[in-house]
Amino acid sequence: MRFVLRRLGFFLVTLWAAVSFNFVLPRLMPGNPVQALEAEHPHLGSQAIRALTILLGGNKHQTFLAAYIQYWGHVLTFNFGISITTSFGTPVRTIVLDALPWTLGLVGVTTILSFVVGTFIGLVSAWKRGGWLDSAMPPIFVITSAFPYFWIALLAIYLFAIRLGVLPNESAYSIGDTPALTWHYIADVLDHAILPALTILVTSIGGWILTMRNNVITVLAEDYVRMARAKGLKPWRIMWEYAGKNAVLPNLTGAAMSVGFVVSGAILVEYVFNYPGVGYMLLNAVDALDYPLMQALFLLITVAVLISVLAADVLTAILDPRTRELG
Amino acid sequence: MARGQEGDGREGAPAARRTRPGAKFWRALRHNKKATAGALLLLFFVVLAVFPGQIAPYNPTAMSFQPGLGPSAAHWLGTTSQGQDVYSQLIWGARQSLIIAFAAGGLATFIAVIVGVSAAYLGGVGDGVLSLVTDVLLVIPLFPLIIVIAAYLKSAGLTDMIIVLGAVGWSYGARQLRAQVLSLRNREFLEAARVRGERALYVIMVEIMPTLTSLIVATFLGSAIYAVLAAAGLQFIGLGDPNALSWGTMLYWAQNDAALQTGQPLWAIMPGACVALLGAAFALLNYAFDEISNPALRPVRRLSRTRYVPAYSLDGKLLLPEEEQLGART
Amino acid sequence: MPAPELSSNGRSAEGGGQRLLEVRQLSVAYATDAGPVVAVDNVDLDLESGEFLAVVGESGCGKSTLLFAVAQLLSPPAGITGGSVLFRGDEMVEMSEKQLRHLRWREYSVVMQSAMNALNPVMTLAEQMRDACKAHSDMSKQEILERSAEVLRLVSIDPVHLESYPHQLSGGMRQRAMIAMALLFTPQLVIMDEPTSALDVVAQRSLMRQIKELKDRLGFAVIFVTHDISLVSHFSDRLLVMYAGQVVELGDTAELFGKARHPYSRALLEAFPSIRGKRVPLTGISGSPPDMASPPPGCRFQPRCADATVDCGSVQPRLYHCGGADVRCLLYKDAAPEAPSLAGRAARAAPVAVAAPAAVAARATVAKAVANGAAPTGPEASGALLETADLTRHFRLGALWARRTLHAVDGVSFAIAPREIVALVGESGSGKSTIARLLAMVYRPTSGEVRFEGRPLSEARRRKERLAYRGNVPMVFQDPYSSINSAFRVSHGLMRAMALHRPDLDRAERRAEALRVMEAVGLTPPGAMLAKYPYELSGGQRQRIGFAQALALRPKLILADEPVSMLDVSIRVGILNLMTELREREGVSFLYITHDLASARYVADRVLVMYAGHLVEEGPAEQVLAAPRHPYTRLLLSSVPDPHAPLDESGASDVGEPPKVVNPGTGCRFVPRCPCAVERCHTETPQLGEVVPGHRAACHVAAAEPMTLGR
Repeated sequence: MRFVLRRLGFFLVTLWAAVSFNFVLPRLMPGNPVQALEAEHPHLGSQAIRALTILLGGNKHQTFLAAYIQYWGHVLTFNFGISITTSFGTPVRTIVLDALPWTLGLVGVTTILSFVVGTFIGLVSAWKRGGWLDSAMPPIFVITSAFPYFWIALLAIYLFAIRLGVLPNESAYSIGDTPALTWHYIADVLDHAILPALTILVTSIGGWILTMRNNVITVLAEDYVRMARAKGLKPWRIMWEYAGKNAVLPNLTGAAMSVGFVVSGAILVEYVFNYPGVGYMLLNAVDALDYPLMQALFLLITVAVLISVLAADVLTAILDPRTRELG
Repeated sequence: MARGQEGDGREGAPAARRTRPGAKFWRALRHNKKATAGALLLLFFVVLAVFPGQIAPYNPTAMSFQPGLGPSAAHWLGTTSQGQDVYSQLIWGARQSLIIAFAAGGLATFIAVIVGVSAAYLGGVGDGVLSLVTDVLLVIPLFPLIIVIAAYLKSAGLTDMIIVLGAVGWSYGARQLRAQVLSLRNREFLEAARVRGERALYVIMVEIMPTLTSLIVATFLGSAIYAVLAAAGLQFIGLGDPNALSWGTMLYWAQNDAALQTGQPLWAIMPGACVALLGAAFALLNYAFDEISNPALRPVRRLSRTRYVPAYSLDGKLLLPEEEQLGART
Repeated sequence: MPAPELSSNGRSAEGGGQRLLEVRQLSVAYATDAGPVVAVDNVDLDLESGEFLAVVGESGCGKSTLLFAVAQLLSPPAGITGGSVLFRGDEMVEMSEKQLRHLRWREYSVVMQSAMNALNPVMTLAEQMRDACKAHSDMSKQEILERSAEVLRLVSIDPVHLESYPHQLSGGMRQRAMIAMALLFTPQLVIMDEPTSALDVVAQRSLMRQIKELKDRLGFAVIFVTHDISLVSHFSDRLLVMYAGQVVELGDTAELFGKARHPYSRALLEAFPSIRGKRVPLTGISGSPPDMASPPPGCRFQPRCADATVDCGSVQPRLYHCGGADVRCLLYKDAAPEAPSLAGRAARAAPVAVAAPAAVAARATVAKAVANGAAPTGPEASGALLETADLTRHFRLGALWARRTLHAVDGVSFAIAPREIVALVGESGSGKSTIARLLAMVYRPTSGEVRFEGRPLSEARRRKERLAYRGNVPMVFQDPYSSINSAFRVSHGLMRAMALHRPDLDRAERRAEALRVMEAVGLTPPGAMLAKYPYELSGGQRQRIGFAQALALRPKLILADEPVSMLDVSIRVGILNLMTELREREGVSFLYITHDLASARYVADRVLVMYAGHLVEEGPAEQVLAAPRHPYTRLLLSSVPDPHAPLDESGASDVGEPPKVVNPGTGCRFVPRCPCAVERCHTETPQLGEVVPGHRAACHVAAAEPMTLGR
């Protein structure tokens, strides 16, 4: 339990760092972003300007500390004012909440799938050391793990959408489709998700396979695996309970650290496929200099990554009695 | 106390080392296929980056050709919608990617070594603070962070890009280096140096650094991969200098002008392939390093399957005379 | 299958008079870059039901490999290249993994060297036992639980620990838990690979007794591998001595201890000091086992053998039957029933390998030192070189909000005289290494003081003064494999030491001095040795480099922190002799930290015994060990294997361990393990009091009735 509490503390520190970073960055930049935005969008109301000042700074009558506290108040209530560009006047909160399910569905599901499948393949390939799987895997996945996500996305679009024309190349569902819980709509959504999902899967799975394979190989040299053999246990039991369980622990920590990497790639995948998720929104906001939206999305992504890190930590604590105690 | 190292059942494994560890390492690296492939690939890109003028057929920025041409003998990869030669751009683009890889990777490695080693060596509060910073930076999603920074910078030139990528990309390496130094801390030769009365700086620079070489190289290779991919990604989404000669910028324009949809797939795919290959070159080297410094990962060696032959009758010992034994031994 | 019964298994008759195990011409090789390297070479051995066979030899002799080959547990790159292993007549080498699975654990089980590594860290003991039970029986959950509790009780572990994870148990308990696990099905054969070598002397002894007792009760046979021949003297029926992958001697244990035939067996037997009787100078075995990639032609022991003849270099001896034993030595070629007189024979044949002159000289000085018997009289007579007053070191543990204090060293006062060797003895966790680090200025004392030549260390604030002290009091470390930086040549450490501490020397002088100290510690030729990298050296040689580095400072006192505990028994004596020699020749004092009383008696003038941070007894070595006053000293003493004395039954049941002293109250810290504790011991901390002049003990009982505690 102490371990999880400690990790929770770390979670809060990281969150504090991310929020403070968001607060400080626009205030460090030369010029006054609010004035710049005002000049560009003359029809901004005074209320909107006030909200922008809280987020981006520029209020000369306020101490730094007071501005910081006020900023925190807005962050905690997830009040980032209104979007100033993309869809003018819509509250940032609404835009973000619209985008979130798409990303969770696409990136969340694919990442978990990629971790589970990759870990399993890594385990089997190391268990059958020297087998065809084990000889073929490492070189292939060493190479694919260095591929840029967006390039695979472009290849996928070119191949499946443009040359073969079997799958849609953009958006999350067909234009004109009304979101409803019908088979037609669900099938349409899945149809649109296949290419981006495959892209993320193909690029991220190699890392999981390789790290798991290396961990298992290290664990297989341990005395307790030999001991399990001496005990006459069935091979699958040794593979699962002795090699697998011990090897997946460092992989879980690795998973926690790599989620940020996968999310980075996923942002580009969403961008290439015009998939209306958080990453796509973030890039649109950057493009349009919509700072409030940008801040909100960055925080959201950070929180999402932190939650998955925390989940990996909790899982580690459940699987590994040693972390439970050492704290 | 434990005498754990002895006789773990692998005790008969002979230590047939005759050369310096360093020399052995280089030999292993030369014999590793992944390392060779990675090194050749990297060399190829280095040549492109150093002599683009000699290799590229045209001026990469000149908009002197018919726009939107497909592949032909004159333009192997066609032309852009601005009328530039794609092949020439591709060759000139290597330079920036390599500069970013080496400069940002080097910067990140430098910070990682400073932070990681001093955290481990300082211990106590110093370690606590440095580790916390490292861990925070490690879990904050870096790419969105860089995007946000780049957004405030409006457009990031080469120097900005190197500084930003180097400044945020060191955390993983620092964490690993710290762990490695911590594991060294229990090694008695460091205690011996301290008991001898050596100063901290000497202990770090002379006693610790040489043992970290392979991890530092691995950190550099990892940071370089990340820098190449992140820089290309940033330029691809238009956060770089739109006039720069780089693969990322080529991709940006290709995407902007819908190259895939308008029948110029090579314009969009080739720069991406170059990024992928450069990343793969570093990744192959990295993995080879891993394999060499962790012998367990190397392909396992087996005895050639000798058939089992009972060498004697069960009722008595069948002992060969001494002379035959001598001859029969390998 | 029904649950196995917990009784002496009567299955020995099942095999129809067959031997339990027959190993014939078994060979094992490792695949390497340079082709296969033989690790076990044509080994034959038999084992009857209920027999205890000990396999001894130095590290690297292939004994563990043999063990795992017999158990069919080798994995690549090692593999059996020939021969057979018959288990009750069934050929195991040809069996498939599936067939082997039926034999495993039910018929034979394995106990490994380090339970920390051999137990799955993420499973409780109960889960690991359940795994084994389920694999071989259809016992119900309840039956499994009962059976697991039963075997734990067999090894004196409370069954509540079934729910513990391995890391929650102490080292001794883990090792015993592994033995309990091996007995789940009361197999016919238990194969043990150095199961005690990671343990302290006391735990080691009690575990050996426990194994023997269980074996007698349950009737299983044991193959027991160890590098410490003295360990098995009272426990094994037969002894197999292995060298360079071959059996060199196989015979009855008692007979072998009385009359070892093979020069290697004899050398092993003469390599450890005895705990009682006259102090005799020992020689140990010089050199190390051959590189198996290119073993010497002829007899493999010949390069290290003092009795080798010309023939030994060219003819490979086979096993000759001689008396009750098999011996692989040309001396017994003509099967003389008795061991030939070696002195006479040595005169007959020209020895091939002559002991290095330095070693001969060393033997002479040691003989002189040992023969002097009456040790220097200690600091009282000659003034102290170094003394400590109430030396205390506490460590803070735990998070900020839950601070606890570990009392590693509490109020320890002692003194070391010039040219004196003082042994500091105790189990791990007793605080003896903390004392070494306090003296080496790695730690600062929490309170109390260290005085060197009368000056308190706390006054040495300037770097120069501290350096001067460090030069006078260097340290030699426990682990020769981690105490030398493998990135540099041997000369690096020596030159650095002199650059720091003897800046007046120029390069040539440093070089000359380096050569001198290398010679002094017996590393010859010194020039070539200086140019080597650490990995080219054996453990014993590395440890000698540790001493050379210390010596290069022209020290007055060398702190030797368990300098031999990680070395093979066979080369320990060499290092111990080196200490006596250096004292004689260079006039250095030593603080020799050890957990081995016999080696303390062998080298030291005085002995300090520590328990849980307290100094509990001190006095002249001979006297303390002949008539120990503190019950803890007596427990330690009874744990030292002594082949020449009958098995000492006192302390047989001790399964305790030194406590971690966290936030202690008052009272004697040995009380929980003490057989003679009285009321007062629980409440009042005993102080060191003189029992006989020069001999002090911190024990209420000993102080009150000094004679009742005598032997």
